[in-house]
Order: sequence, then structure tokens, then C-alpha cells
Amino acid sequence: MRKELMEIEKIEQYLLGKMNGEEAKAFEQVMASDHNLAESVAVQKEMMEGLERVGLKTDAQTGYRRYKLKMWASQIGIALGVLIIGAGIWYFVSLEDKKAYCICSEKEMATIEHSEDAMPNQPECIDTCPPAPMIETPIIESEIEEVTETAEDLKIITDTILEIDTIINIEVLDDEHYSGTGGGSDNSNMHQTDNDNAIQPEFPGGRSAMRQFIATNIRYPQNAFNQGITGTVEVSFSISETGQLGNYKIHKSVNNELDAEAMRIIKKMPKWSPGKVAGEPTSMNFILPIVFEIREE
Amino acid sequence: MNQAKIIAQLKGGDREKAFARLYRYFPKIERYIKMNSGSKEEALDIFQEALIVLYKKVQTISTHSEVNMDGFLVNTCKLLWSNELRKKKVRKNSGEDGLQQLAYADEIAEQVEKERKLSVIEEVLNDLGKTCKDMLNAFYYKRLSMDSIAKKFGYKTVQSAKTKKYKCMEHARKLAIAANEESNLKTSAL
Repeated sequence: MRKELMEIEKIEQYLLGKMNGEEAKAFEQVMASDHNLAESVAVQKEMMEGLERVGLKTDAQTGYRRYKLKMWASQIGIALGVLIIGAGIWYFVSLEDKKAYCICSEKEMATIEHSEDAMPNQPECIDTCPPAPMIETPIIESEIEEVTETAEDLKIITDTILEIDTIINIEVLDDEHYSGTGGGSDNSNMHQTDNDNAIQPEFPGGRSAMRQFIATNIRYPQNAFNQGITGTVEVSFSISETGQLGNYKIHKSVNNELDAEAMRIIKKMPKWSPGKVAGEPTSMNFILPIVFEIREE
Repeated sequence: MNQAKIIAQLKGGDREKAFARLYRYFPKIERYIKMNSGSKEEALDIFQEALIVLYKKVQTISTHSEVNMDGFLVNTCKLLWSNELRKKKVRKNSGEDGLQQLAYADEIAEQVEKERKLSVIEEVLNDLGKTCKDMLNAFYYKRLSMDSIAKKFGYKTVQSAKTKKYKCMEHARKLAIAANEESNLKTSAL
């Protein structure tokens, strides 16, 4: 080893305290008289401190990364907690919906007390009942059978993929025998629609347009849904010669909430094209049944 | 929290763990520095420097000493940031008087000045080349034995690893002397 390197080794031993007392003393004596050696020791000492500083900085950076990871992990933990709580509430809520539905499919118009009493006897409902409500396009009575078949098909599919869904049917029964019925008996000035020359008043765009209108505007009232209240609300109203709607009445009631919702929709309707008798626009009465039904697929 | 444990970790080899724990005081410092016209990056630099100052302080005390680490870190950061602001000439003398009153103020100021000088060495070490830097770090900072350093760096004999280490130190010394002369020239020119 070169002379210079041997000097470095000596300085290192001195600085790290690896010299025994006598050696150290002798070294310090040489240092006192040798200015160059003293300077070398000082620089080497500085170098050791610099190395410590660099090492500490690296450790601090590693520490910061660990700290951030920990913070990140705890935030993820919180997020997961919220998710689990959220899922818990959702599951609870959906379970409630199932109860309401299941009972009501057995006993129509069942009240809450009934549903709670009946619950233990019908545990199988919970497995098949739906989590979230959705509103299906209302259908005309004549089409119900077809749609029900589709629903049957869907049920098989949904069962296999374990996706259970509810469909709330709000159906519009505007079958001809409803329209213009006995309304005339209430108002003597109204023409009977069983007149051969009579033309029915019509929602602008016809039945399909009316179904569309109702489907997009109607909401199944939340309480009624939760309680599983279903039924057909019949609303009677008049269509004037100009097509203006008026004289709204609940012809057949189910409950306040469902009645109000049916009424709200009818009142929201635009002008109809008026009914005609012998080519002349004539005011007529009309009864429109709206079916609120919770159905499982 | 468990202060004695952090001191023990700082005195033993578990510096990374101790620093990771101490970073929980960082948000407080970050807020302070941001409120005083600094950025998050500057706050990180200041906090890191404060951790080094705290580390040096802890080396001089016993494990069971009562040191308010939180307060020590906060005070160090305040002093460091005040220096930084003076350098940036954002603030001239305001607030200086208050800082003199801080606990450990003299001690901290002294260590801060030492570290400032060491930043020259830090640059020298960065110029040294990776192998030399890593080897010196392994020996002087991590306190690994020459046996394990020889194995780690692929030397057949411990003696050849030692020779390499001394050569690295020689090279570093030369660079440091050159750097010191340069900075002395700069200082005298000013």
C-alpha cells in the first residue's frame, strides 16, 4: 500500500477511536508539529461527517416514503370503512324493500303490521327479492301477457347471474270500455261515447305517446313502495271542445299517495285532441286507470 | 407518543423507522412554512434538515432524557426557515428577536451552521462516483465490517477492499480541498 494510503488508514483509526491511548497520544504529537497532517485529519473528519449527513438524508427520505405509505394506507382504510358501512346501509335498505314486496305479493295492500307479522313465515322471499326500484314503461292491458312472458324469461337469466331486480309497473289501462263511460250520467251535457258517430278524444300522438309521457314523468311514491302498496287508481277528467283537460276526479282510489301521484301526472298532460260527434268537436268525459304494481323479475 | 422508543431507534440503527414516525409532525411544519410564503418542497427540505439536527442532538443525550421532540423540531424548522427567508431577502429582520427566545435556540443555530458547512462535502460526495460513495457510506455510516463490504462490492480479499476504500477517501479529500478553496475564493471575492 502506498504511503499516502497508509496515512489515510492511520487517520481513520485515530478518528474512529481504534488507536490505544499511547498510539493516539503519539499521533496527536505528530499532528501538532505537522501542519499538513493536521489539515488532512480535519478534512477526513469533515468527510466522515459529510457521509453521515448524506446517509441521514437518505434515511429521512426513506422515512418520508414510509410515512406517506402509512398515511395512504390509513386513508384507504377509511375509504374501505365507508364503503363497508355504505354497503351495509344499502343492504339493509334493500332487505327492507324485499320485505315489503314479498308480503305484498302474498297479500295485496298489506299494511306494515301485517308484513312484519308475516315475515317469519316467508323467509324465502328475501332470497329472491329485489334491491332497487325502477320504473318500467307502462303497458296497455292487451300487452300485459306478452310482457309477463318476457319477465318470466328474464327471471331465469337474472337468477343465474344472481342479479335480482325489481320492476315497478305503472300501467295505463286505457281500454276502450273505460273511456267515456258513465261520466255522462254525472254531466247531462256530456255526450255518450257509445254513439256510433263518436270519435274518442286522444292524447297528442296517440296511446304510445301517452304511455311514454306517463313512463317518463311518473314516480312510484316512496312510502307506498316501501309498504308494498299496489293497485289501480282511476282518474276521471273531461276533455273540452278545445282539448283542454279539466274536472279532475279520483274515480277509484287506492291510497292518498298513489291517488296524488296519478292525479299529478294527468294534470301535467298537455292538451288532447277533442272527441268528436258527427264531425263536431265535443266535450267528453274520460276515465284513465293507472296501475301501480311492484313486480319481481 | 413513545418518545423513548424514538430516541432508542435514533441511537440504535433504526433511523429510517424513527424518521418515519417523526414525519407525523411534518403537516404542522408544512402549514407553518406555507403560511410564511414557502412551498411544500421547501417545507420538505426544511423538515429533513431539522430531522438531521434532531438526530445529532439525540446522539448527545441518554435514552431516558426528557426532550420535547415536537418542540425541538418545530423550533429548528422556524430557525431554518427564518435563515432561508433572509437568504431570499423576503424578510429582513422582522421576527428575529422572537426566534432568539426559542428553546434550544443556540444549540440549534450551532448545529445548523455545522450542517451548512457540510453541504460542501455533500456535493463533493455526489461528485465522487457511485462505487466510492456507496463504499464509504457502507463503512462510515452503516458501520458495516470490511468483510461484508468486500463481499458486497465483489472484492476477493478484504485487503483489496480496504485499499479501494482508502483510495476513495484520498480522492474525496482532494475534491474537498479543491471545493473549500473555491468557496474561500468566492467568499473573499464577496
